[in-house]
Amino acid sequence: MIGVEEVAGIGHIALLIMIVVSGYAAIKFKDLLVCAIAAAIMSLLLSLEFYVLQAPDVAIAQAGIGAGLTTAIYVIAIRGTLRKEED
Amino acid sequence: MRKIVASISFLILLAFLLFIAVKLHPFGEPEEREMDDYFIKGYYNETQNKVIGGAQNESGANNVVTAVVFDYRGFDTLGEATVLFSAVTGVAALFRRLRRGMMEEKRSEAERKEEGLSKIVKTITNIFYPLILIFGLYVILHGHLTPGGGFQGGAVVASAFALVAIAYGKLIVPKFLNKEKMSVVETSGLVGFIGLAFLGLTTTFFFNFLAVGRTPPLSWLSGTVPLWGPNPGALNTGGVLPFMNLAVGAEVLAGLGIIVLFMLVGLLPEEYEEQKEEEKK
Repeated sequence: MIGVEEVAGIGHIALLIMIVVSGYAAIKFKDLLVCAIAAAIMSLLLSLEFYVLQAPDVAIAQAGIGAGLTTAIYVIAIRGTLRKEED
Repeated sequence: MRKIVASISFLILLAFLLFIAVKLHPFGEPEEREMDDYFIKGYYNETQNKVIGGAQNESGANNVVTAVVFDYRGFDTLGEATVLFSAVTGVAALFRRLRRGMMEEKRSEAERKEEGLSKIVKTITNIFYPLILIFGLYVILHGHLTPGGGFQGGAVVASAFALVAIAYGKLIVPKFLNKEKMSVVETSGLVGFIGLAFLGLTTTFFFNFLAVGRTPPLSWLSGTVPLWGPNPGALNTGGVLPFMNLAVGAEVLAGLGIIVLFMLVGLLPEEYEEQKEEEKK
């Protein structure tokens, strides 16, 4: 019989794995716009992780700056330069 | 080679995170460390006023983190605000090719409507922009009661600005984001924060002179005693903390907004020069 705590623990570990996978996607792809979106997803999951770790104010800062503003700045910078990464 | 190094480092990071997730100490039963003495023994009073337990009675703020950041450790926040100010100054210096004429470029309404992303994105932006704005202002205003504060709320408001700027493109930006007004808001936020710190100079720098009726004629402003209970939620508590939250919030939202604005309008100045020359012909 699996209790609530086990489900919460499995969810927490799945969250950490998703953070690492999205972080790997952010450096793996050649299309920089995709990388910016992957980094935004990672920031969003990271803010969820901060919320799980009972730091809601850090979670708000991470969601606002990491997922919102940084993605916007990346998108503006990609518009001004090249979209594809060179080898 | 690069892929192998990246894969190995990510596997190490994954193992590290999983180890921490498994070995994490249970919440609510913290280990005792030397650092805890600073908080438990207190800063103002050695025995009676503990920072974690007594911050609510001492400063009147319901959110102990904000009480620490703006009251007990105000110098740290001053340093953070100054770092942000110099970062904004650096971005403004880098993108200084942005000339005065570019900001107030005259365009027709039809051209403004065609600029930017698709109609779907614009509609979603119209729906979400006021909600994000209200949430950010709520976080700034209730910084001493609920999680968050001036820095977080300012970042949320600035992300709403960035959303509109990305969705509508650079032609609509000068209509609602003005460079001069934003820099006035940013500078007055920083000056107001330092001024509030100087106002407590009769005792010490960053003294919370309004907290819990310390200045009797002014204590109705925000120095009333918080109500008893798990969530008092009275807005006029916390001494100078709400005003410092407002000042830092103004500085952060204008500073981060200026960064997005400068990057968006200062992007590709040659494009603007070509457009102007075509208009002259």
